[in-house]
Amino acid sequence: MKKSILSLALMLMIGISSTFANNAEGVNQKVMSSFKKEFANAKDVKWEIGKEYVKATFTFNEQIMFAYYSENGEMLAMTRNIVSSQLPINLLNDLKKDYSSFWITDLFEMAAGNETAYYVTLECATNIIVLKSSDSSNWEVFKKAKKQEAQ
Amino acid sequence: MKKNFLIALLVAVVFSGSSFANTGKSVNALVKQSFQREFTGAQSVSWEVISDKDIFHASFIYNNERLNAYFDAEGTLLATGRYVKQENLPMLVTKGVTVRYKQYNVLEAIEFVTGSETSYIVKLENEKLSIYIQAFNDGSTTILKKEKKK
Repeated sequence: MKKSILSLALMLMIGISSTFANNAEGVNQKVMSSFKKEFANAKDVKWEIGKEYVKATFTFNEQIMFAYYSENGEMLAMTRNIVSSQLPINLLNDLKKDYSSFWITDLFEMAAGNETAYYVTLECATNIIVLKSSDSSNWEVFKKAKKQEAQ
Repeated sequence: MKKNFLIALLVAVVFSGSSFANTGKSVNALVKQSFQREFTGAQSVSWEVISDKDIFHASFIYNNERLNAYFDAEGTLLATGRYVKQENLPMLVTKGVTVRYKQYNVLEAIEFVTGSETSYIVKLENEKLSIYIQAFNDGSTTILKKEKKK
């Protein structure tokens, strides 16, 4: 399970080729019924059908969210982009203390099963670092690259 | 034990407006040192000593956030708390609360950090009852207190 979450997180960050569909055409019934059950009042739903998962982008409780499903309708994860003030206080303080010379280029919360994780992408002039926290208390380095290597 | 006490205290002080402040007691040097080490650069600090439990409560601004920190007399940081908006609760916390307490409205929520554990104390109410729950990052919840509305 952890491995699949890891793979999913990587895919979310690097992006995968997918087919966009603004309506539900091509989305199988299992995925659709699972989505409707979980997010009954979702609005503005858009679908993307990838090779390994189906992604729904939608508004729920006034927030833009993303949900990822396997072909058999299992929800693999849901994510939302957040701003740094929405991080748990320990994570926010550690970022400010340990990465004050970096700026944030991406930050999202991911819920998979009963686990919540946060991923932040930080950049400075020369490096890109992706940190992950799965305990809401500490960051660990998830990915690190020199900028020219990352291009 | 201390953690449960602190949670009960937070519920009583923050949500119900009760006061356990003992203005006759001053904050000792160990506590002040520990505070400065933990929250270097904190501003607008105000202190109160809580009840006869020897718990020292600091309210302050840190990194542009209003925080509350609780220390024992030896200067150990017991807990940190801050108000969070409902939309800033983690998704699984929101889901756990809305699924289990759909007949209630969320009034207030506090992020509560003890050691490496982060949880959320949430006040909910409907026409008849106010309840206080603790919600965890995995979406689980536990009821702390339930009271009839006056």
